[in-house]
Amino acid sequence: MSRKLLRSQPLLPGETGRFAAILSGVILFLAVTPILTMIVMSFSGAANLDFPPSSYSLQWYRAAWQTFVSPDQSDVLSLGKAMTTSLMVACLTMIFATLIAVPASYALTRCEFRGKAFAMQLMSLPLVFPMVVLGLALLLVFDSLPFHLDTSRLVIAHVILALPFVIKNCTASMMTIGSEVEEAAQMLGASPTRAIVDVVVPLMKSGILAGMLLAFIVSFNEFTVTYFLYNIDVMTVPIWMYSRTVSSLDPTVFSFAVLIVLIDFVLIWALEKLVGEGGVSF
Amino acid sequence: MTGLILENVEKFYGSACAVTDVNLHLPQGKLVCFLGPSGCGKTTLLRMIAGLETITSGEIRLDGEDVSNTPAHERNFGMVFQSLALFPHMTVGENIAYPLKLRGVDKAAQKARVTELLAMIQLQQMVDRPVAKLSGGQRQRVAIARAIASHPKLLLLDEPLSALDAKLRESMQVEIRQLQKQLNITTILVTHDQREAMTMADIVVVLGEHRVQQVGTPIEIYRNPANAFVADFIGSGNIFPATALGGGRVQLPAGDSLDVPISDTIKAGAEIRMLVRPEDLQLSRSPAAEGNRLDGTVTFIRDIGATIETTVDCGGVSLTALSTPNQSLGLSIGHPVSVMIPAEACRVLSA
Amino acid sequence: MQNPPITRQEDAAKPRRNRPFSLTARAWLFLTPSMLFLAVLIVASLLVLRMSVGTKGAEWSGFSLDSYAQLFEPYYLKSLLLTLRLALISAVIAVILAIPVGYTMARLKSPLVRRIFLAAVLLPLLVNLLLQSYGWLVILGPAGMLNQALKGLGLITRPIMMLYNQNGVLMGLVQTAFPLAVLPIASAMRGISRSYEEAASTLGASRFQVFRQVILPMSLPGIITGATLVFAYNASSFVVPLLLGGRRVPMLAVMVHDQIAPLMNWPAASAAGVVLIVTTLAIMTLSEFVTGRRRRMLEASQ
Repeated sequence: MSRKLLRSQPLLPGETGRFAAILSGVILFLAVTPILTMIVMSFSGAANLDFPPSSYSLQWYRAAWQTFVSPDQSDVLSLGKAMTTSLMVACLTMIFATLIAVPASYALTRCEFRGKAFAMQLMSLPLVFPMVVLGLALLLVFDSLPFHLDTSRLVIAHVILALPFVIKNCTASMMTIGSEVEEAAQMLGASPTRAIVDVVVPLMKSGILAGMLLAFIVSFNEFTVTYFLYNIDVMTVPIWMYSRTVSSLDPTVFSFAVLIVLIDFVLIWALEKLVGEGGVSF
Repeated sequence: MTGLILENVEKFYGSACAVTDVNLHLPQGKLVCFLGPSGCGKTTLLRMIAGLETITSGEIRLDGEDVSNTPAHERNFGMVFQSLALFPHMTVGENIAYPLKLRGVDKAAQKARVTELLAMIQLQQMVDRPVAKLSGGQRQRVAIARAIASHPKLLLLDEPLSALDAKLRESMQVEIRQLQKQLNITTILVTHDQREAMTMADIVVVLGEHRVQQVGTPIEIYRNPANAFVADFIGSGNIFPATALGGGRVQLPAGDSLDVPISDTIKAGAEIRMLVRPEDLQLSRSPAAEGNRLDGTVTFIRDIGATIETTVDCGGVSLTALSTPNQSLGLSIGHPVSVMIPAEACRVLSA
Repeated sequence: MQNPPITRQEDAAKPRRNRPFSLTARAWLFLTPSMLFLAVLIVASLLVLRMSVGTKGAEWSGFSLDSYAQLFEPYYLKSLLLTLRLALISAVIAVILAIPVGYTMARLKSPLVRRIFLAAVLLPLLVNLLLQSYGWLVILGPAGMLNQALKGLGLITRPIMMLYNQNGVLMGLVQTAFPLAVLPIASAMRGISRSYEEAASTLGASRFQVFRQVILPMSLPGIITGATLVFAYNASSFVVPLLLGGRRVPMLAVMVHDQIAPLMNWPAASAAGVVLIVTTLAIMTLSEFVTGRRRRMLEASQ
C-alpha cells in the first residue's frame, strides 16, 4: 500500500531500477576513491599524509608550478622534457595504432577466412599479456638489435598495448555499417578499395576517433612496460613522477596527479561524446 | 544475340547447392521478375548477375559479351538493394552523383544529370537534403535514380518494395514499371510476392527448390502452370490427386469422376494431380444435371468484402470457390452445397 | 514428385572461377601491419622462452632447466599459488561488483549520466597505476581514511593493518581491474533486447526474477569474458602488489622483476615469466572455449 504512494508510476521492464542505479553509483564511487583521495590530498595544507588534511591550501600546486617552470638541479630530467616525450609518444602511438587497426578491423569484420577466430584472439592478447614479461621481452628484443632505438622503443611498445582497444572500437563501429553500402558503392563503379575509402571510413569516423583517443590515454598513462624500456634521455611523465617519489612520497606528486587525471577525464568525456549509444567496446 | 543470357549457371557453397541448371535468355528492354519462395536461390542468382557472388560454373553474357569474370564495379549494372543502401553521410544529390563522380564526369555535367534524374523522380527540391530526412517512398526513388544515373545496361532490383507498406508498394510498382518502359532498360526484379510479379513483369521466371521451374508471361504461368509447384505458388489453386480412367475421365479418391481435358499420353490407372482455379468453380444449391459436379458441405467461409471465399469438403477433397457478393447463396458452415467444375477449367499437372 | 536433393561430388571436374585476389589473401593483407606488431609480441615471448632455459652468465648459449627446477622450490610455489588465489578472488569480486554497474550502464538513457558512468568506470583502468596506489596508501594507512572512519564508527579501537598485506593488495587489484569486467558485461547486456525483459514481465516475473532468470544467463558470455580479463590482468599485476604489499605479497610479476633487479638472473626471471604467459593463455583459451559455444547458441536463437 505504501509503495503505491511512493511511486507515481510502475517501473517499466527494461528500465534501470532505482536499486540497481544506487548500487552502481556506490560501487563506482568506491572505484574512484583512490583518485578522489589524491585530488583532496593535493589541496592539503599540511606536509604529511594525514587524511583528511588538517588544512587546505594550494601550496603543492605552487610547488608543482615551480618545478615545471624552473627545474630542480636534483631532477634527472625536467618535467617539461618528460611531458614533451609523453605527448610525442602518445601522439605517435595514436596515429600508428589507428593506421594499422582500421584495415585490421575491416579484415576481421567483413572477411570470412580461415584462422579468423585465431586472429581475433590474437588481437586481444596484449590486453592480458603479463606486462612485466612484455617489458622484459621487449628489452631483450631491443637490446639485441644492432641499432639504437629510443623513443621508437616506447612507441612500438605502446602501440602493441593500445592495439586491442583501437581494434575493438573500430570493429564495433564497422559492424553497425552493413555490407550493403559497400556493395552498392561497388555496383556504382567503385573498386573495392575505393568503396572502403569513400563509404566505410567516413561512416566509421566516430569509432576511429574513439579508438584514437583510447590509444592516446593508454599511452599517456602507461607505466609498467615503460619502466623497463626507458632510459635517461627518454622519460615519460609517469616515470618522472615515480623517480621523484622513490625516496620519499612528495605530496607535489598529488598535484601532478590531479593534472593527469584531469587530462584523462577530459579525454574520456570526449570519447563518450563520440561513441554515444554503442558504448566503448572492449 | 542481344539481351542477357545465362548458360548452365550454377552456384554451390561447398557441396550445398544454392541454385543450379539455370539457362535463361532475357531479351533487351523487358522487365523480368525472378519469383519464388525464400531460399529458392533467386537473390543468389541476381547477385551472381551483379558480380557480387562468384559463379561456380556456367556463363553470363550480355549482348554477346562474357561478363562472368568481370568484377562488379566494372559491369556497369545498376542495382537497388533491399535495404536501399543509400549513403547516410551524403546528401541526395551527392548519392545520385556518386557513379558519375567515379567515372570522371565533370561537375557541370554531373549537376545536369542529377537535375534531370530528380525531375524524373519528382524530387526536384531535394538535392541538398540528407538522406536520413527522406520518407520511405522518397528513398526508394532516390535509390533507383542513383542506380540509373550512369546509363547502365541492366537494372537489378532485389526485393526493393518489401520495406514499404501496402498502399505505397502498389503505387511504387506502377511507377517503377512506367520508368522502366520509359527508359527501355532491361530490368530484373527479385520478389516473393506473386501479385507484384503479375503486375509488373513482361516475363516471369519462377524459381523453386534451387532451379528454374517455369519461364513465361504472367498470364501463361497463371493459366498453364508447368507443374504442381508453379500452380501452387501462383495464385491460389485447388490441387487434388486423381486417377486417370482413360477416355478423358478421371476418378477422385472418394469415387466421383470428372470429364477433363487430358492428354492421350497419360495411361489409364496413372496417378495424377488436378488443378482448378477458385474463380472457375461455381456453387449451386440446385445443381444442373450436366457437367462435372461434386456434392459436399461448407467448412469455412471468408468474406473479405469484395470477394467471398467458400471452402467445401467434397468427399475428402477440400475445394475453395471464389465468388462476388452478388453471387452469394447465403451459405453457412455445415450447409450442403454442390460444386460445379467446368471441364475446360481443369488442368492436369505434371508431377 | 519432388526433385531429388541436390548434392555435388567435390571432385567433379567443373571449371572454377578464379577471382584475381582471393578474399583470404586480401584479409591477411589488411591484417599484416597489425600482425607485424603482434609478431613482436610473439618474438618477444619466444625470446623469453629461450632465455628461460639459459644459464646465468651464458644466457643465450647455455641450456639448462635449472630455472624451472628452481620454480618448484617452496618459495616460488607459494608465490605462484598466492598469485593464482589473489587473481581468482579478485576476479570473482570484480565480477560481482561489475554486474549491477554493467546492467545500469547498458540500460541508461540520459547521455550525461552515461558519460559520468563511463568516466568513472574507465578512470581506474587507465589512470596511472602508480598514482592510484598513492591514493590507496593514503586511504589504507594506519592513520588513513578507512581506519579513521572505522574508529569513528566505534567498530575498532586500534587501526587495522590493511597495507603491506594481502587484503590491501586485494582491494587494489579489484579496484584497478574492475573496469575490465564492467565493459564486456555492459556490452553483453546491451545486446539483450528489451523485448525479452518485457516478455518475461508479461509472463509474471518480478524485476529480480527477470534479472536472475533472463538477463544473467543471457549475458553469461560477457560475464565470463570479464572474469577472465580480470584474472589474467591481475595474475600479472606488478605495481599494485609492489606498492601496496611491500615485501609481504610476492606475486609472480614482482618475482620476475626481483630476478632482474637486483639479482640479474635473467633465466630465472624468464622462467617465471613463461609460467605467467602459460597461465594467461590457458585461462584465455578455456574461457573462449566456454563462451564460444554459449555465444553461438545465443546468436542462433536470436
